[in-house]
Amino acid sequence: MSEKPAFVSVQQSLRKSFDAIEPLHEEWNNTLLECNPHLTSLSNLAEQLQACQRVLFKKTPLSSFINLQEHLRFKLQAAMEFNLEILNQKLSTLQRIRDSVSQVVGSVLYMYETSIEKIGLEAILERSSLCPSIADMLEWLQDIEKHYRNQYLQRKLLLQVCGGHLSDIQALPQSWAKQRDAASSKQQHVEDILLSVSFFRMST
Amino acid sequence: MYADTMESKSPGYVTPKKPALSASARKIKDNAADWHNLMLKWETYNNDSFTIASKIVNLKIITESADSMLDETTPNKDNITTDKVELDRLCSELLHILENMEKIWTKLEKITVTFKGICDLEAYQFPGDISKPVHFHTWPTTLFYETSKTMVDMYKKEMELKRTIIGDLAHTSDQDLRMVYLSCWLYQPYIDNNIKVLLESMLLETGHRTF
Repeated sequence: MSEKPAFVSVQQSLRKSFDAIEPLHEEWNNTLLECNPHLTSLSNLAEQLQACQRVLFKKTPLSSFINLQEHLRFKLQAAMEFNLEILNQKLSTLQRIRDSVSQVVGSVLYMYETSIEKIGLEAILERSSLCPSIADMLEWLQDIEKHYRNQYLQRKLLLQVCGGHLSDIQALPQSWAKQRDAASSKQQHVEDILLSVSFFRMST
Repeated sequence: MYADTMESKSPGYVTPKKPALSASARKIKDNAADWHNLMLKWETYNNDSFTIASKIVNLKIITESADSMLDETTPNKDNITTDKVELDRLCSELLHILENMEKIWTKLEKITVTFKGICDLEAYQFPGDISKPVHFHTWPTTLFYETSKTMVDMYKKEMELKRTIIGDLAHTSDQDLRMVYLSCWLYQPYIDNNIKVLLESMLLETGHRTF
């Protein structure tokens, strides 16, 4: 009966991995929420900077002020950099979460691969009302990992536009929200998975 | 001449080095504290006035868009009058805050003048090459004056800028210019970022801040 302990230990490590993913998922959502005010500020600042560049200071009552346009641009850019720095910090938090998830999933897969022969195909596919099959759960874990990988990359790409045109920066909150809406089904999928394994996680 | 009791209580790194401060040193120290407090006050006024200024701009945008729809619907006269009353109220509120900011600036000017006065006094007391007293750690009195002058000049320009903006804020119909006015108001382009360093150095030197 060498397959029994191997089976149990894979189940244990699956349980552990879901336990680890749940708080990470929450942290991920919170981090995304924390980005919103800074995205709005950044967008406002981009709008102000555009206005600052469009106005012909010479033809306004401000014409007597020396280098005002440069001074104002400098201040606005400094404020933008401040917001960008915070957003980059958030991005590195997202990266850390993504890496943690990958690590958790990787270790379960390794565990599974080393004991696959001892468990046997039938046991892997076996499932009950309380306990999904090992195959299903492994697939779910990979889905979750893929979700974080994609999402992180998309967010990173969005923030990279900040080096480019001001109009892109101005539209950042919208494109960020669009990204969120496009991924909402995947996001829901992660939550559904966590729900599906809740009985499994409770049973020891 | 000096009370010796202070010395035993204060730890070594805190100014005064001397048992008690001389009249000039005390004046300098008070001035530094005033600088700090007045700058905080200015910031509060600046934020408050920015809120009002943006309300004015919003109100102008609303009334303008109402004007452009004149031919389609009969304007609600009541609305227009209330808007005008509200605009008047906001403008006078803004002017009132600006007056307060002007007062702060005058006080800052006065502080700078007293620094200059102390410098002149010392120049008179210690003429020629005689080394002038250092009241705190390392700064000669002239450095206090120069720092104060640099800082007050920033506020002077800022004050002029605000006066100009307030004259045109509710009159221009250029959307971009309005936005520039508002960003100028909030971000105060003539107040350099290093003003905090200048102020903190002054506070550190006079012992209001410790290492």
